[in-house]
Amino acid sequence: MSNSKGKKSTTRRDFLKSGLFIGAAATTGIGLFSSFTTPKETKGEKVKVMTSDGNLVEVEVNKLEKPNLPKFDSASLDLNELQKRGREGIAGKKWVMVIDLSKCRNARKCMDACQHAHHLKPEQHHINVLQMQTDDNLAPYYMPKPCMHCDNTPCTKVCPVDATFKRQDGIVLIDNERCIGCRFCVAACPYSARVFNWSETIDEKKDNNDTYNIELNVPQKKGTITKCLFSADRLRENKLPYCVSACPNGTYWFGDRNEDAVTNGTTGETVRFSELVEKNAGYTLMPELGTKPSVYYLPAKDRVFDFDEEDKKRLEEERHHEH
Amino acid sequence: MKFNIFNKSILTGFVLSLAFSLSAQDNWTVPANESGKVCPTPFSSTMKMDGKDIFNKNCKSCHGDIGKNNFVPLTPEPGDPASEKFSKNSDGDLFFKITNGKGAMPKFKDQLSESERWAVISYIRSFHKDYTPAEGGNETALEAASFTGKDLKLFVNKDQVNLEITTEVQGNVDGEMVPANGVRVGFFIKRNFGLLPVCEPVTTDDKGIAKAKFPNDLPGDSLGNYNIIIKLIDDDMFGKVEYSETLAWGKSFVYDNPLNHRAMWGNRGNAPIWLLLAYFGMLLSAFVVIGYVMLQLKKLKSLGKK
Repeated sequence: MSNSKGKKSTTRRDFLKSGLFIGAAATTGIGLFSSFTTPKETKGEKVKVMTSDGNLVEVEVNKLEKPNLPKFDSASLDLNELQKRGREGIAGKKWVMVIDLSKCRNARKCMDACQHAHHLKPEQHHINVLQMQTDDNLAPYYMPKPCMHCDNTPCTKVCPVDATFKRQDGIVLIDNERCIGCRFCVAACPYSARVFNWSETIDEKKDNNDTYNIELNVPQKKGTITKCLFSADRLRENKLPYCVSACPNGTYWFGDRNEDAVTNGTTGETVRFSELVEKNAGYTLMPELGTKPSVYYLPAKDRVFDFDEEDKKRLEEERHHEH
Repeated sequence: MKFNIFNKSILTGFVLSLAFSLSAQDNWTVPANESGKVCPTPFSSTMKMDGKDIFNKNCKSCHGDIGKNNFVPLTPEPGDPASEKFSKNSDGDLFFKITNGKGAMPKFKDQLSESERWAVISYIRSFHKDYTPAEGGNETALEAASFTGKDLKLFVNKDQVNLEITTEVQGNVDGEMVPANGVRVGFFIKRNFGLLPVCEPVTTDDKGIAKAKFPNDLPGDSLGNYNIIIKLIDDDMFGKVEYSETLAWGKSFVYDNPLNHRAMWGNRGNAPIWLLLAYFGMLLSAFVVIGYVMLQLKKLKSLGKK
């Protein structure tokens, strides 16, 4: 009995010892291999597909054809197509936004248009108009703040599941099919641009059967992140973002930095991006962090509207409480 | 019954007129000394044209096209500048309101110079039929556009060396094509969301010629191609007259897809090599240490057996 026990224990140890090395080698090897090669479609690659009667079949990727598939499969393929093009972005573009603070009067039309398009609750903001006063002696001003779509994104670095990512045209998107709701990105974002769907989303029942559009982030999903998308769905149609075209005061300029041109959403006027930011002393938010934002601000100089008196009073009261 | 209808119409008429007078007043009083202000120079057609451009850039988004009543339905409504509500104002009133703004109406004090503001007023005034210029100025009646021909055509001549385009505009006057002078020509480069003007609109000379120089530092495609568009600015008068062509006058722009490079912000497949080496190096060394400990334990055991 004792003999057999000893034997058994030695075999287990031997097994563990040899297994550990193989396991370590295998994990590192596979890890190395998978991380050095970007996922690309190879010829003759096979995928598992479920047929309409519930059987799993292996099919070659290049033999998959949309019309031959049963109806519900084509819906899922549409999702895949949307995901694929949503992840790649639009080739050759680098979207930039310029926000002219001298024109903003807190009309909040940008916020309304955005919340309507992305099915957000009134308290959820992809873009928010803030009331800023950085010093007691400085004049307060209104500042719309969308996602900065940084070129050196702190948020995509921390995502453990590749749910948030940056595309080639500079837009940072969120894939709520992958998002696990860990909110690391919320913590990483220095601009507080990210919003979490804590509860049932506003159009949950209505949107339920819609195919998820990664470029619109609709339907919204409880337990996932939502954020400003630079209206990636509108850009695909060569239209200006929702917020930009909704502004009644000419606050927003939007365009392609590769073309060195931005267009005003209100007036339709097009100017050179480099000249606009140079002449008006454009700046970015928190440049010291090295995030390289794609959203530029023009200072609130020569303002078109006065800061609201009531807002001013409220700001003063808030400061009073702080002291 | 008839009497009743008559009565009602009177009543509604009265209510409507009351509402109109209230909205016309809209409680925007202009100080007397401001109200009497007049433009220091007489209104001219060039001023009016400048005013048109300034209006389209700064005012059109709310007030719409003058005379078309297509203003944005805000409360209080911005109104059409051709309406009686506007024509009732003196030049000074209009100047004061444009300068200082109120509520949703921006103040253009710091955005437009005084002459620019007067130019806008001269443009608005051209829509007021019974406008009589104030005493002591503005006596020039607003002239129509200088060229009265029809079926205007553009003839384009390119100077490849200086990147200059000479446009000749001709129009039909009494069945004969003659050079169109005093017509404004716009030179543009097509961009993603709109047309980028190369310069301010150029007015044709006596020979119907307008010139513009194109930039060589504007990014085009990989071969430096950009699409130029030359058109008449006042298409409300002359109809849509446009010329477009692709020219290799720009700066060549070679697209470098950022996803082809490894970066910290990239997804798993695009992580930097140093990061991968560091991570897997640490992982490997941990396992090596564990393996070494196991080996030592084995040695210890075999020593114990001896």
